[in-house]
Amino acid sequence: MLRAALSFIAGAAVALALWWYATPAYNVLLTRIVRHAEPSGRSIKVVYPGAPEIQIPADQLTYNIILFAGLVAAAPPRRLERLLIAIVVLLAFHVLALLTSIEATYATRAGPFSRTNYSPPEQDFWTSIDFLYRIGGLFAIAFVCWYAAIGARAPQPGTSKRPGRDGQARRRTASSRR
Amino acid sequence: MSRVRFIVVFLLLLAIFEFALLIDVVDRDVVIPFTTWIAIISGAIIRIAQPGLHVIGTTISAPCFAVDIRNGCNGVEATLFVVAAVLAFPASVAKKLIGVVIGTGLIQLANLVRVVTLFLIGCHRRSWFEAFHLAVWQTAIFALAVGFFIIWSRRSVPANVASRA
Repeated sequence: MLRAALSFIAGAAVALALWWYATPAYNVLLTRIVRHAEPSGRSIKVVYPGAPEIQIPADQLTYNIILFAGLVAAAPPRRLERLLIAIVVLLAFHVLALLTSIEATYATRAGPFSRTNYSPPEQDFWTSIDFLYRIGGLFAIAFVCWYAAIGARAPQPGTSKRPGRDGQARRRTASSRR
Repeated sequence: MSRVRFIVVFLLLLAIFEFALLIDVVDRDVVIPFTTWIAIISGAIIRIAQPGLHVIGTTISAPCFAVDIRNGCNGVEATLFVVAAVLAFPASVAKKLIGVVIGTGLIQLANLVRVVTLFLIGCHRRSWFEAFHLAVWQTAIFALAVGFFIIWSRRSVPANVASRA
């Protein structure tokens, strides 16, 4: 367990450094996917035609890679394709989170533009989705991606407390006697 | 299949719990009073190292620094994460109850350490505050939540299911 904890810390530390220094470059990648978005250091600037310019602190949407990297370092998936799929899903959620954050910002923090273009239920909807992601959703997604990727190593009924080799051998012997 | 079921139930429960945080009554009558207690206890601890500290509601202030503890910093979201994971996992009611109680206690204890250290970082190393507030402590708290769940779930696999394997 100590080894897993140390591996977690090492993986998370590497990812923390990566997140800290590579966020501007990652934001460039995100802005190539999201239309009307431009990188602006650790933030992303959005300029929709006819709408006010807004800034999204994009680094606050992507730091779940630290938890994910720590978990992967502590208990790596045995199959590489599972890890790759997990990473793709995690990154896809970064794009969705950015889109949601843009909508939430335009819906509630763009002054008269918000009141003109978003009804109160729409404002509530986008704010709620943005809140759910930021408050814990981003970590839940990182956890689920890792949990699904490690497959049979994840604790689940019927796999975690399997009888040991001795127990299996004993059962086999008993059944062969019958 | 049970892993997929766990993931679906976990995400559903977490969404329901977090959605509840958005309801005014829950925020006003549960979250804010709870957060006020966190501020009072953290303030009492910080006062040992930082005399002249005041706690007003959810705000802790001293001449060197001030913080307002809000959702995201009160440990509620990580607690809900643990509770959702424990409830989604197929274990006996007694084991779930133990998991919820110990998990909640552990997260809240760690959160007190977070609030205290963040305040002291804000006082003495202001430039470090944002990184520690956002990335380091938030990740550490959720890592603790995941770590606790993994350990608890390995000890809580139903015996009848385990013997079928």
